[in-house]
Amino acid sequence: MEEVRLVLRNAGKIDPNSIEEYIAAGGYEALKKSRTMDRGELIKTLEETSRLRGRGGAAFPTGKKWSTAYNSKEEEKYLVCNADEGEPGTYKDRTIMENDPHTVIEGMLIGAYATGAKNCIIYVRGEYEQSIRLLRRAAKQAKEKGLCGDVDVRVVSGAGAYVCGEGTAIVNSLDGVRGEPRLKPPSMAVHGLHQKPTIVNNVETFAAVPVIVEKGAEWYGKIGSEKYPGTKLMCISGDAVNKACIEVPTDITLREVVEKFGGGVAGGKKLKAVQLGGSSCGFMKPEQLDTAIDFDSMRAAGASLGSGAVFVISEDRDMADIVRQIAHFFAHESCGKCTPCREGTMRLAEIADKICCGGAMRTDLELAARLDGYMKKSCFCPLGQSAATAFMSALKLFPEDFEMKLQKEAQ
Amino acid sequence: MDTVKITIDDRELTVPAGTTILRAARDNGLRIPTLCFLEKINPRANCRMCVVEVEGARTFQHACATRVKDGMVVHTNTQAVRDSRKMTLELLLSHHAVDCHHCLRIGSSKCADLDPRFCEMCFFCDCVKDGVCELQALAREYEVDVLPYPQKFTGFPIDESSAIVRDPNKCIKCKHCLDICNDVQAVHNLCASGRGAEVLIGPAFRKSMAQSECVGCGRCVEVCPTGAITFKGYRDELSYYAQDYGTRTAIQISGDVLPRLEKDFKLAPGSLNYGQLVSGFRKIGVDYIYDRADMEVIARTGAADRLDARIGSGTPVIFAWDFGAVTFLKKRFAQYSDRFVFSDSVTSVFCAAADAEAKETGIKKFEVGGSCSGAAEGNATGELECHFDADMVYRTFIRAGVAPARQRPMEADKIPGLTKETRYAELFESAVWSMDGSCTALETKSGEKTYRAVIAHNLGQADKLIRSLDSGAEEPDIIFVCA
Amino acid sequence: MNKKDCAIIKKALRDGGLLDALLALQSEHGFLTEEAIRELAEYIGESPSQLYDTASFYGMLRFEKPCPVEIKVCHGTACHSAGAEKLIKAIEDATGAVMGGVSGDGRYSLSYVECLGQCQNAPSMLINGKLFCPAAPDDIPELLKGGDF
Repeated sequence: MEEVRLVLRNAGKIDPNSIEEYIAAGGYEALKKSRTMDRGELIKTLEETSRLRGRGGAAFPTGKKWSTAYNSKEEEKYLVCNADEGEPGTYKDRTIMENDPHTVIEGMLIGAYATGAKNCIIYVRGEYEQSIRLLRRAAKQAKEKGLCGDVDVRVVSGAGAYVCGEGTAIVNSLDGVRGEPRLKPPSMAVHGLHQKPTIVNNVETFAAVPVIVEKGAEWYGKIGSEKYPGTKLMCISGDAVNKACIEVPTDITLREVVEKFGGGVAGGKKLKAVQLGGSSCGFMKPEQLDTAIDFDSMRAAGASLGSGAVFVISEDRDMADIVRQIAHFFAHESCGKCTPCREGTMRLAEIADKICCGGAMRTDLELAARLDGYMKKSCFCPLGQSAATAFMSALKLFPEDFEMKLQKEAQ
Repeated sequence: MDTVKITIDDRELTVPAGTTILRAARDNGLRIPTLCFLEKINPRANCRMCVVEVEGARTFQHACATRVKDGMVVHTNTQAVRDSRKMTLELLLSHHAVDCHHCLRIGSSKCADLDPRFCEMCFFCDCVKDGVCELQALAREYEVDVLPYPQKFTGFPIDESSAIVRDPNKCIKCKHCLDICNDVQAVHNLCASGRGAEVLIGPAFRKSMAQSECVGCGRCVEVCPTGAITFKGYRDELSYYAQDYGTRTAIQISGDVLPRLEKDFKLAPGSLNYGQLVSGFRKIGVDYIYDRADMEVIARTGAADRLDARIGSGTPVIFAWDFGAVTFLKKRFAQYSDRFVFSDSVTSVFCAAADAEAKETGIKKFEVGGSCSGAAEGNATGELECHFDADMVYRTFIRAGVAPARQRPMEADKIPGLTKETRYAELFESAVWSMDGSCTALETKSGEKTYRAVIAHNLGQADKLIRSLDSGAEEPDIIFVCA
Repeated sequence: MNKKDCAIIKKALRDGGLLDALLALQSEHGFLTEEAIRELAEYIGESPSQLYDTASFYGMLRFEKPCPVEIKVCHGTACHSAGAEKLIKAIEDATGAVMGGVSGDGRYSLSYVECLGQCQNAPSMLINGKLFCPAAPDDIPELLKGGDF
């Protein structure tokens, strides 16, 4: 199977600083077309025909989300593009924004038209300075060309908080407070930014909208898997030969991604595991790679597509070492709101450290498992709920990496 | 009113639509434990103690903020839920300076082993909230005997720079203090700083309390569930001085501590009376015991004199006598200082009266209940040794072997020649602090004259009210600010 | 209010949001001074403590004077696999600072930054906010001497 570059159609082919080149490549035609369509119909087509699902990780049907805002009688509505890409191993959104910022803006403007929102905000993580620059320039260009109409497009910077990638935390951050997640219900689509209807979608989701409108929802809906159609950006990293961001139909298998596009493991080594979806997801063994990458197939296989990050792990790697890195990541990024995550992530990092320096006993592994069970049920938001997932997955699939480090049991 | 049918712990209930699971449970006599929930403040759902199983939900739900739906089935006390609560407590206690009279020292969580009757008075357990700490109570209930994690301290120092002592090592991040300081008192001193396990709740810019915006109102102490925020001077000085031959002690007592004291002693509401408080302190050996109400009479006379002199001059008089309110007004509304009328607080009146009656120096003065700015005032003037809230009365009684329910009531010392102050009576009667609600507008008399007054029942109300002055709207003659 | 700060705040809020303003003030003063926070708080009509509460949440914002050379190594799984530990060792040897600390002469600080999203060019690091990736341990001495950050 080949790459199918829809979202990345312009990547490497046009100058991201130039709106003229974007337009010459067919840009903003979709926007013009959408503005001739009935808004309700546009959303219905998106939902039922293209069946586009959010590319941030939760895979919620995009049309359904937009229809909540569309149906609201509120005058003031917001569209927020979640460009707070923080999941380790993920760089697809950066790839989109640095190569083709206009596709994101066009997608948002189409969304604004469909939902009736007059305010588009792109929340970009603070570390992505180049993306912020390019998007701001692109928004200015679009405005100068009169493409925005009465819609305000604004690019706002984050400032170093992974948790702000969570759908309600991003709204709190935009509201000018700590990026802690919010109580739900109400959902953001009902009471979001400034308590108004707010649609939060990932960069990749918005970036896919123009090509869906231009080429037609039916055409898009035929690509990839039935329930999760279209293409997905996959970011290959780790011990792979080719570390690149690729765009492939969603019915491709993970094996093809790793072997064909990733080139397999570098240095002729054997593959030990693949972590698909980022640090909040588990690991897959080589024999599990024949699963299609779409959200539902992965979930059925007990794994997660997540952000589409593909972290390739060679036979030389120590899973306990990888898990320790991940544990410290979550401890550092925990917002601190709820007890299980605030204290639990800290204790998981402590246990991981203990394992790696040879001071752990079997009871420490059991304690980590208890923490995982507890955090899955009692944490306030998905960050805490999934913080120990990778740890548990590694323990289950590669117990030898941990066993050999345990202190000898007392005789 | 719309109602819905729900089931909690196999009991079918009909409750108002939109109510929370916690409210529905409490209204029907069902108990769900909480730590970070504070009545009248919007729930934060931080602590995870109130988690319950809701059929159909993937995760546990927080009862404090989950609204009921018709047909909802809730289980508040399954083994899984109890396990979760116990793990929450284990995590909190592992990141806590556990120096209370708790099982961890002795290795038992049985209440019988920890009953004060068996206490050896070694004072190894020194936490001021021992016996009245909500975290401790829950830890005993859930039998947290052994902590699975290495005990950790925050690394932040204890702040004893002011009358309000902050111990970050006992903070459970419930944010009660923050919410009271910001949303109710509008002082905007306390905030969170940092994130994750290293988060610190305290004054902005990590300043000490003495350097901060704190006005000393003391309401944060009232709402802290653990020993993280307390009043200075708790260390059992009353009992010590009461027994010391060379020292005389004086105390003024307000009956407003009774409800909380009854709760601390696990007595039925209304079972203790004021006289038993008095006799309890006499038993300890306090020399002079005054009724705060009597002191207030004297204070009111002083206040009325000052009000009479300034009122009716055209612009509203802004009156306060609580130290916290006075500090707040001076700090926040210095531009209105020509309208301020301050008079001696009940605390300072008591101190003066105690000094006068004792006719000697070296008298140690304490107060029980009343306005909690007494602590800050006492610290600032050096007159008062300590302000006791109900929890501290409990602690003192426990350690001195006083069971107030068994005390025969006695009377406080009488102040000779005391006549009730009638001027502005309506005003003083209604000027009580309240966490919610709105300002009270009323008429108050001084002699033949009637004045329009507005009482701000907390500093947040005062802030809003004073900011609205000079806007052309009709203004009262007196604004009374309660801290 | 400081005129320059006012202009900085105005521009940042016009083009972006609150965090842009905080980052811009930090850029101007080297770190977020109490005064800068009070100014911004006044500008947006918030109490200083509330703004400080918000600002202190975010990892990119700092409240103390930074070292002249701030080195941050990416803490991500991909960078770790690509040899971040060796990179850190090289930096420690070259500067005298240990991970999480400051060099004896106070010139260098070394800390982690969470995944920068440069996974295909791992390992990555920031020196005074400037991105270097892939960064090789052997390049470190020259890089630091060069001072191009």
